[in-house]
Amino acid sequence: MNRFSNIFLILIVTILFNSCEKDDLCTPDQAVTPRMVIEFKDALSPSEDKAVDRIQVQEIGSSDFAPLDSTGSTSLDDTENISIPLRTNSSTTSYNLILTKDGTINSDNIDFSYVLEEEYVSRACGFRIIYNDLSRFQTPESTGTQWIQRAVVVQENVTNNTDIHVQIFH
Amino acid sequence: MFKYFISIAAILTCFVSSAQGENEIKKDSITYKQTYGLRAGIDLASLIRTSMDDEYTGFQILADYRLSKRLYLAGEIGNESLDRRSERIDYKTSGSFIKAGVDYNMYQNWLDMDNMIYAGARLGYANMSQTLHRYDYSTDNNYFPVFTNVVDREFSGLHMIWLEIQLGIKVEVLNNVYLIANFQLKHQLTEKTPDNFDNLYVPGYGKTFDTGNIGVGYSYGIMYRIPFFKK
Repeated sequence: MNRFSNIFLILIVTILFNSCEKDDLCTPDQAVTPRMVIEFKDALSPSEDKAVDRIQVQEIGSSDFAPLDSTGSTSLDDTENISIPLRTNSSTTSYNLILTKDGTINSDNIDFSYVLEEEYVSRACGFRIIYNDLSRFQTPESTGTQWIQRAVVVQENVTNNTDIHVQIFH
Repeated sequence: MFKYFISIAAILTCFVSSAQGENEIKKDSITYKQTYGLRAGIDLASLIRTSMDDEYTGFQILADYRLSKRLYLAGEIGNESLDRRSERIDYKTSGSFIKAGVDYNMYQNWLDMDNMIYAGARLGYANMSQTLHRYDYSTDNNYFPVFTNVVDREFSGLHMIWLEIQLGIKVEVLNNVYLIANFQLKHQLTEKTPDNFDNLYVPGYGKTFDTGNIGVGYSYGIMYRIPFFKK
């Protein structure tokens, strides 16, 4: 075998190993089903953020609290935004947003409705859901006080975790 | 390189001694004729994988035809089916493929030897269908139960065209019987993918990667040459 083919062989083997090395890995930030990001605003001066003292979120009918950020915390203190999952098998997710302020627990209910869209991501990540035409319905309370003055959808299409989708004024 | 010198020296010694024996100085006018013909065979790699891997079935025919001293027309034809269960997706791909191109022999044969160390180029075409059996949605939490979709969604009429280079050997082990082996490096040119899905496996091309349009493969098998003429 002459020198040319030796070099050629080395080249091919190098390329082979390089391309084999890159195996398919699913990196979570890249391609998972997004969560809905909620930002808390001041009802009196709507342009300003207003942190909530302690927030927990629970789906109606569930005994568990929903994760509020990427680390999976189910209760956050003094926070200005949370990101919560939405159901991938139903076009509505009904949440109780539970505020604890000065020892008083106040739970307000909001239904989030959306259109599910399935999206292929990659071999490693598989499929994900994105949510379109997001809307919200706040259940009025006949007794007691509502801590949420109003909730506004600011981004109808939930496709990532970096946009802010809903603003809650309190 | 030294072994070549030694081998050549050994051969020369034979000539010298025979020349001495005949006791006449004659110019070596023996030319070894090369055999031309059609070589055909089967790929053992896919047969062995069929017997070992429950999820795979495949069959491939190999052929080449000698054009000149170093150049051969070459090609492969076959079909493959892969029924793959993975963490997030279960799918099945099945279809057939054809590859056509040339092999160039880089090996300098001695005497009437007829072996090849070759570089080959191919244009490949595969036609397949893919069925999505099951998939999960990828989520970063498990607050809601994982929703597994069991479907039977078939995508047919898919294809891929790719360019392939091969590096391999063809060695004559018995008269007209050859063992062959090669590595393949592929670069996809164009493909028809399913809507909202992807070609995860392509017959003849192999597994596709998320990160690019490069594919790899290998083959080994046995071939038989039907000699046509010598020159």
